[in-house]
Amino acid sequence: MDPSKLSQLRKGLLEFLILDVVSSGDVYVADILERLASTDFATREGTLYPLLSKMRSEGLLDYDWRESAAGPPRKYYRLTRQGRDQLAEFRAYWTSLTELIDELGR
Amino acid sequence: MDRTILIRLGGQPTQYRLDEAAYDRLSGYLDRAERRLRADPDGAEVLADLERSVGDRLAALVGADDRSVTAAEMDGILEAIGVVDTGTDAGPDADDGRPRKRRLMRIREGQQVAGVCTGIAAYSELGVDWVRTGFILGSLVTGGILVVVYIALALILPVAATRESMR
Repeated sequence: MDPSKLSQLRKGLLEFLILDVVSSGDVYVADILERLASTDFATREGTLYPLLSKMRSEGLLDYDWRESAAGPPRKYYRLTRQGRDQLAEFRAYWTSLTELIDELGR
Repeated sequence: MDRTILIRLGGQPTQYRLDEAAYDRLSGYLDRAERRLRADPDGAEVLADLERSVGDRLAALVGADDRSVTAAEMDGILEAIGVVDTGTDAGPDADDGRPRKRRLMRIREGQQVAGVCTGIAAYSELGVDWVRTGFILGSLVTGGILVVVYIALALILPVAATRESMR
């Protein structure tokens, strides 16, 4: 398959995977990068920060400043209620989509 | 004589010492990031986030050593952070990733006559010298018809001050 087709799909899915990662508890940017690093969705700060900022302005997530053990204070992200709702919606949609793909291919 | 520059990043108190070349790389990166984030209302915050990421990586790199950071090290850090990509959705600020529509314009910067050749060079991505040579040879071969075309283009085409400003 044309790799650019898949990369478009990945780009669109990244936002939902970030919702997923952030839903697992308070995370900071290095956690998100690390969780995604070994996957097809590996990304870098240059992409992640603008996306997090956009998602925050959409009300999907928010952050607190927290002191870290060694370094300077860090932003820890968490989902808002709206973010949790959107993640649940996305998961339901994803399940129905994979079922549909299975069904159509039969 | 080598110059080193002390900087602070993202509002943090820690100071980092950079070679002048490393500083140039970093400020070039941040300038480009700022331009890409211009349409983002939270752009300043994203920039500060990026600066802090650079700071974290510098701290990890230099550790307790009292030394300055080289350009090669800075390149490595900036490569790991990656260029700022705002094109992750179809929102109004997402046009950065796509190639801009090119328009044929006259360009005042570097013009010899009316800037038609500089404009054609920018549009076609050929060297302006090639375009001019082509125009002159073409004018000789066609007995001056191309000169008329030139004058027509000079009258018709919109004008841009520089190549950069024609966006």
